[in-house]
Amino acid sequence: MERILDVGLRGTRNYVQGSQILARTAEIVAADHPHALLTSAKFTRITLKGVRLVVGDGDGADEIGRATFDDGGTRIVARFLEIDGPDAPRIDDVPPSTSGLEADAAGAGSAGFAIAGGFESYLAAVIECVKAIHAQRGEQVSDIWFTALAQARLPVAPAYPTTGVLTVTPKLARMVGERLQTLSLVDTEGKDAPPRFQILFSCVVAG
Amino acid sequence: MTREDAIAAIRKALTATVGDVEGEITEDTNLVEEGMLDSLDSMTFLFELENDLDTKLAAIDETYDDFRVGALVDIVVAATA
Repeated sequence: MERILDVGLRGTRNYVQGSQILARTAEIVAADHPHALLTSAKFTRITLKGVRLVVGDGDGADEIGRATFDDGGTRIVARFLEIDGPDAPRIDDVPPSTSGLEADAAGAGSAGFAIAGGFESYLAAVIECVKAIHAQRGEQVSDIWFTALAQARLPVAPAYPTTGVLTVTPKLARMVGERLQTLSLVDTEGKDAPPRFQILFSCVVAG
Repeated sequence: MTREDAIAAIRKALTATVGDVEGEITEDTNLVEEGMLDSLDSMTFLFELENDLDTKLAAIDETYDDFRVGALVDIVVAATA
């Protein structure tokens, strides 16, 4: 199955957010697999072009990332390919969904969230929180990107708490090329909160 | 921990990261150069390895980039001695 994803350049960003790509993909997966869980995702590069979804294993030079879903033991692989064409359309930004951020220089922190309770709003809140915590690191950091998540059990259905607290615990940081790659654990407090998972970000550290 | 035990722990972390791995893993295997791990997978792999061993591998710092199994075995054996 192939599908062009309805994604855009949100606000002033010069890239299509991974959360949008995963959210549109989750909607498509949910149509046939309403109980599926997102178990992992990774983005090897960013794009400001459109994105085509291909469900099924394979590879290609234009692949920018992939995600894996689990539906009762059935593995579903979704690959994201950059479309050769004009830039993705501009779309409106959305207001922040986290508040009360507390973070330290080591990359640990927490924040409250208030969301609609769907997959996209939850993922957006997580990424907003982790990104904000990275921005609080002692070093001068920039270009903070969400790159992957792993060991996750995130429902494609709207089964998330509408309010709660996200806690981010840093576990690993390594330089990969010119960028610092980090792995943190995300814990969610709230009604029907999903279990802990790993999230990876990369950023540029000056100096 | 013996070197054989360390290789078993590395294989377990590899499986937790990318699923079942075909073929033999020896101390000469390079997990990245041989395509078993990419840079993103390598982060999860190292975390899974530390988690399984219940030990912080101090040698795995921000500059670490050697994914030869032999080098990883050295680190695991030293950390668990």
